[in-house]
Amino acid sequence: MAVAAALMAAGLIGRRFFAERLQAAALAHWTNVFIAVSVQALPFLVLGVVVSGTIATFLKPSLIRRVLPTNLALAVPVAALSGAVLPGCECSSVPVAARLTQRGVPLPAALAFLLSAPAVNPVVLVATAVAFPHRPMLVFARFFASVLTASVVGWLWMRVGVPISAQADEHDHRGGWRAMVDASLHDFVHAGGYLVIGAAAAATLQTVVPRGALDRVGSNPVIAVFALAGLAIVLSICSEADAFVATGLTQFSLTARLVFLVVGPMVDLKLIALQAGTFGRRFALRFAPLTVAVAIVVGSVVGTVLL
Amino acid sequence: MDRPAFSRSFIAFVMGLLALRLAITGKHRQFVRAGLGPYLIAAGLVLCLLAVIALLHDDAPDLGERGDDHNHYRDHSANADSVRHSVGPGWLLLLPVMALFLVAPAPIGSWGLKQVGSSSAGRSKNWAPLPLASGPIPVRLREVVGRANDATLSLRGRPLLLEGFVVRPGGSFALARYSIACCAADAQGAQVLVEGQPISFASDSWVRVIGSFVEMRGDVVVVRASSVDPIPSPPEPFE
Repeated sequence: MAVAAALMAAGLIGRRFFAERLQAAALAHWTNVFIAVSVQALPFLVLGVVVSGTIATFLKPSLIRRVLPTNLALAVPVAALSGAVLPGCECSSVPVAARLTQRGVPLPAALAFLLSAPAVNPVVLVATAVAFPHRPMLVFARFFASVLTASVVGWLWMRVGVPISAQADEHDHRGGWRAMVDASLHDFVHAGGYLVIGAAAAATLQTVVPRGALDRVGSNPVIAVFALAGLAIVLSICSEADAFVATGLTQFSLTARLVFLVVGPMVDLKLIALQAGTFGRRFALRFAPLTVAVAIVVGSVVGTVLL
Repeated sequence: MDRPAFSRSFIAFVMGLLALRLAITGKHRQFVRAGLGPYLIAAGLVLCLLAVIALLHDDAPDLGERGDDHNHYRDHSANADSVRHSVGPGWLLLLPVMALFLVAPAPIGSWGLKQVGSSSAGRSKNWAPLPLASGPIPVRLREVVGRANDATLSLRGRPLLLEGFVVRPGGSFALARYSIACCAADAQGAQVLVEGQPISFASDSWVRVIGSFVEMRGDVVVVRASSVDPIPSPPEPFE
């Protein structure tokens, strides 16, 4: 409570302080984007923590051992493909993946699931098909490139991975639904805090960097790929809506837009904050750049071949 | 119930109330697409339910209540306490709530247009003809911009009813509005230059323009207005 009161006081003072020094309009813009990213993520975060709480409480490690291949190199693509069953966006998959590792899923496999789930579930694929009604191949390309990227990152992590920071170990002896409530609340508050940091970062960049700067680079196909990968990271929008943004980016090639759709659900500002909070800063520093690099390469190759 | 557990329930409850309030009042439409409303209500109910269950059924293992379990619990609490029991950045979840009620920002407006850019008239695509109507036809600004380069000239000679906020680029008068796919973070602007009426409105005030498409001036869509009237800012600022 004391912290809440202090935060509230800081907010009041900060508001007066900044309102006098910044353009009021810029501050309003920042606040809109900040609230928008936070509110937009809320339903998906809630879905994610209910699933993660259920996994933490009811998923038996023995079941995981039976379902997942013992060969880790094989378990990675299986986990990437099973991302198709979580109908959420990227905010859902981080707490779920964290609980999966806790219940005995090997880290590279859990990470492959974390990366692919927001991009390859039916809701996102249908949204992509609706946004690109004349480009059915793009839907397939998105699915294929996302599963491939997730698998490659999983395989690479088997070699170059760093250990994740100690997980909150819930030695809860109550079991059952009451423990599930606790685990869900824990994951909600934990992930939510980092999500808000990411939302603030996204709002800041959107208020400081004009998006129109992108329009000039659309004509060069190579720069376009990197520009849209960067845009996906900065925008931090939900994977269920990014296809509708991609349709509007008509000055860019389809391959560049595919890269946008592959990178966005895997790495963006709110996700980096979320992953740093969940798995540790050292983890995020290696995981995010690795994922971006693999996603750009895989997205470009798949796009060039298929689109 | 220990303090962090209480804090978590408190934060979840506040966030649940926020989601419910935004969706029930329709205020969420300033930030996210209208269709997210039912999901916000579901999320709000789940959060409040989780928080209430945790608060009412507080049967955390008290010290001394369980023999063996108790020791086990203590052993772990020695090293896991700081992680398990701290709320940490979780308090930041209250920041959007505070931003909403303390700053209470107006919807994104003319300032943001230069940040997000405006959609330009796309390559000509064959639009369906505008509906037949006796009066002016309500058309979204984004559609006007899209149709401006239309090969079938679907805008020609048709009276249009346009609603948006006022932008004053270099003293002239433009009408603008954002469209979003998901939330204000992906907003895209659309704007048309309005001529033919004296300028008497400030930036960001909402107006209804009745007029017709004149020409493309470079990549700027020009509309000649027969009337410009102030309207209250709509509950859903996006189109």
